[in-house]
Amino acid sequence: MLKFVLKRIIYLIPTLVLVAALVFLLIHMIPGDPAAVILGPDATAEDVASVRQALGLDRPLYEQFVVWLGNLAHGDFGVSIHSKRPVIDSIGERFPVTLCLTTLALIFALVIALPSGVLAAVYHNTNKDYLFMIGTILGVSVPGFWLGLMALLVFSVNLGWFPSTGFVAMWEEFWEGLRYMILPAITLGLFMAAVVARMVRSSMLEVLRLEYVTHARAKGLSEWKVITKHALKNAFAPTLTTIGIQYGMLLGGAVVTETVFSLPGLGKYLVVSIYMRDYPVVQGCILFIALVYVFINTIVDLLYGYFDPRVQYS
Amino acid sequence: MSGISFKLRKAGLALLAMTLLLALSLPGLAADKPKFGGSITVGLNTDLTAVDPHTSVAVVNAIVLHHVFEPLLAYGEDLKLMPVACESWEANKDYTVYTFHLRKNKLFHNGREMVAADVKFSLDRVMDPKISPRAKHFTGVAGVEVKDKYTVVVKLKKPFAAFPHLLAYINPVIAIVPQEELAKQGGVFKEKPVGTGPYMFSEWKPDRYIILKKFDKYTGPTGPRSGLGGERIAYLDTIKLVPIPEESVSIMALLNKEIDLLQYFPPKYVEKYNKSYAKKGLVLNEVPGLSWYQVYFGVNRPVTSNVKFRQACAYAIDLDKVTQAAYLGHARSNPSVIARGSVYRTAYHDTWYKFDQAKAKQLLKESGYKGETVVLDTTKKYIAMFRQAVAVQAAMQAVGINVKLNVVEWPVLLKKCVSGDFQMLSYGAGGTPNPALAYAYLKRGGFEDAYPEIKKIKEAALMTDDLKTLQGLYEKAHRITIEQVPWIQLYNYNYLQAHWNYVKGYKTINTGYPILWGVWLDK
Repeated sequence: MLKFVLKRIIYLIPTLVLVAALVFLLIHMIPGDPAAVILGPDATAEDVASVRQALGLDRPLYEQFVVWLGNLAHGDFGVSIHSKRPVIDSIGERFPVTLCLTTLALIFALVIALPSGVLAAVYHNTNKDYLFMIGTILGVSVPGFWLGLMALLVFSVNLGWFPSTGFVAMWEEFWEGLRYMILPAITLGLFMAAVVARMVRSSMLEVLRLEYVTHARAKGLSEWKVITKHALKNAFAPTLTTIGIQYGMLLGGAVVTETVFSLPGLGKYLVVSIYMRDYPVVQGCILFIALVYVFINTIVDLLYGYFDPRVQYS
Repeated sequence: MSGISFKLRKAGLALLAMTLLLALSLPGLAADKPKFGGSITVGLNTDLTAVDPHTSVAVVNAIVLHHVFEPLLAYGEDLKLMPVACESWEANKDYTVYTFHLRKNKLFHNGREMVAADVKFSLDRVMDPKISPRAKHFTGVAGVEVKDKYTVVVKLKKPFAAFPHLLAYINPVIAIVPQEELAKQGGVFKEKPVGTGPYMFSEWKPDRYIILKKFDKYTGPTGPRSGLGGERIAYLDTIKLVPIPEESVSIMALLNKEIDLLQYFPPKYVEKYNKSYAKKGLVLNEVPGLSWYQVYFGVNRPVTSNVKFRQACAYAIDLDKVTQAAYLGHARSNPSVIARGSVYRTAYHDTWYKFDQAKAKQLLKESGYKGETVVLDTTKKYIAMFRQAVAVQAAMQAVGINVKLNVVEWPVLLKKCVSGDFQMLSYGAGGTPNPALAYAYLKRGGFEDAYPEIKKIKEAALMTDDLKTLQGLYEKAHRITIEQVPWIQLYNYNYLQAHWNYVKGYKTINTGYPILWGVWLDK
């Protein structure tokens, strides 16, 4: 397994260099100029040229890329064009918020998705299954933006159970922080719950038809044991892949939830920085998210072996 | 006897009435008496991007930093200049030397007294193009000299009567900063700015909140508050500013009393305010603002270079209708860059083309327009810019002009605006109190180069502070915009701000900046 992990880390280096190159090229290809944003509406073309020079944006693109990559190799993500703060510090402040939000959303999604997916498979083609299908279609179709606003209107404005805006870090004040996180986590987690539940249902349906499940039943095992110990464990391997991909998508998709609930997360920071053409921040954030994405998928690959003993790490 | 009794009864009734009146008015009097202490939470529509007053032109930064830093001069509500960090100032006869007499015993938040050397350091910093986006505006300065501890002299290369206006910029604040604090923070304020304002910058948690604390040793201007000028009394102990980018969420936060004051009240909620929020105790302020929105023409581009075509557009557009569409009735059409209420505005600035589609069609014919596509660039970042573009497109299509909307991101529109790469551009700006600087916007789309007369007027206006002369020059400038139509000025929108009724002393000012000195809580 150690060899496998080392191999993944080695693969990680070219992956990240490729991501870095792509991000760098894409952000510089998008029309718009950070210098114009800094100077505001009454700037002249000469002013913009002068700020571009001060920021080093007038240098050839390959030169800028090499300088940025060189700095990255030393752990230097650069400095925000607007706030002048180190990008890595801002990522360090905001990533825990996004991590907290997505992890809670994941927990919520799994708590909903696993039992409902299993039940839908067990009660296949019954009213319970149809109800489940309707629920998951709704979960997948309802836009997170609308859901967030409705949740705020009902639970915050009308019932007064949760705050409508603001943020308290759970690592500073756990219960108060949780109060601020519940609505955003549910809003974000609902889509994932629906996707994962559908995956659990279809995997379970496949597994429940296999001979070894019939064999387990024939041995006289209780239906509970057959489902949880024999069927679910095997059905979970493909679901795990979905969870890994979905969790990565949560990191990217958190931006809508972060905006609606005014959370100081990484996604919102990234989008605002794209609008302001803050190149170092955009490059740093996307590279960081890519790193996290690769890390999550490595963990998922490692967990595969537990759920499916046929998987060999070599 | 009966007469005396009647008189006594009358006197008794009068006394009773007076007592009742007094009793009824006392709580009101008590409520109107300013109270010290307490904390206010204010909702902003975006987060800070930087805390150094000299390095950024983002409005939100100036909103916060006006409480922390102070300029030498500031605009009053009538757009006249008022002293802030200085007590007085004077210019020599030909406007080449300005002398500023500073306030004594004015302290920075680190406890050190502000002196002339700080003013020199700050102005030198503002003039450094590597630091300040406004440096180019100060290129006429020959040097800043310290005459004595409390006197600063600014020498200019040539006469410039409008120079004090530069020091009163609303955004960015031309702030007086302490050199030693900047040195401690690496030459740029990144997290902990230190100024001389009535509030100290205490904490900034990005995207969460900004905390300002009362500066107990503050001394500043006296006299009634007016705009950004006048006395600055910090009644509140703490100001917490929270960014809430989503409009509907900011309304929910206000209704939930999670915020006490909302900097930007979306116009679409005014109807709900009238029906329901007002009864709950919310107060809505609506004040005509200086911000102006317009459509620029690229005067060196195909089709739009033709003055008859531009005049046809001016006839085709009903300013009132576009204003209504863009700001839902919370704006007033204005064909001039000079806002109503400005001392520089005369009746002539109401002159513009009267909506007339027949004349528009006739002029189009004369211009030789043959149905070519004209591109109107706009953005959805500021929704009014988009709405006005749609209304302008509809008006122009109604007379047979083939207008195509090109919706781009804000940075792209900014770049187009700066480079002049457009046929038509739907735009808006925060308003410039000095009309000479407002007319400088005519360089957009190449008009200033194509029509140097406008540049001469602008330069003449910068050389005098005589009101009559200035009014004459600005009338001349407006006449040129009527003849040449380099832009179509559309409207000034109103600033809408809301707060709970226990927030007292709050005034919405015509720059739209929420000012929290002079504000207290009565809860």
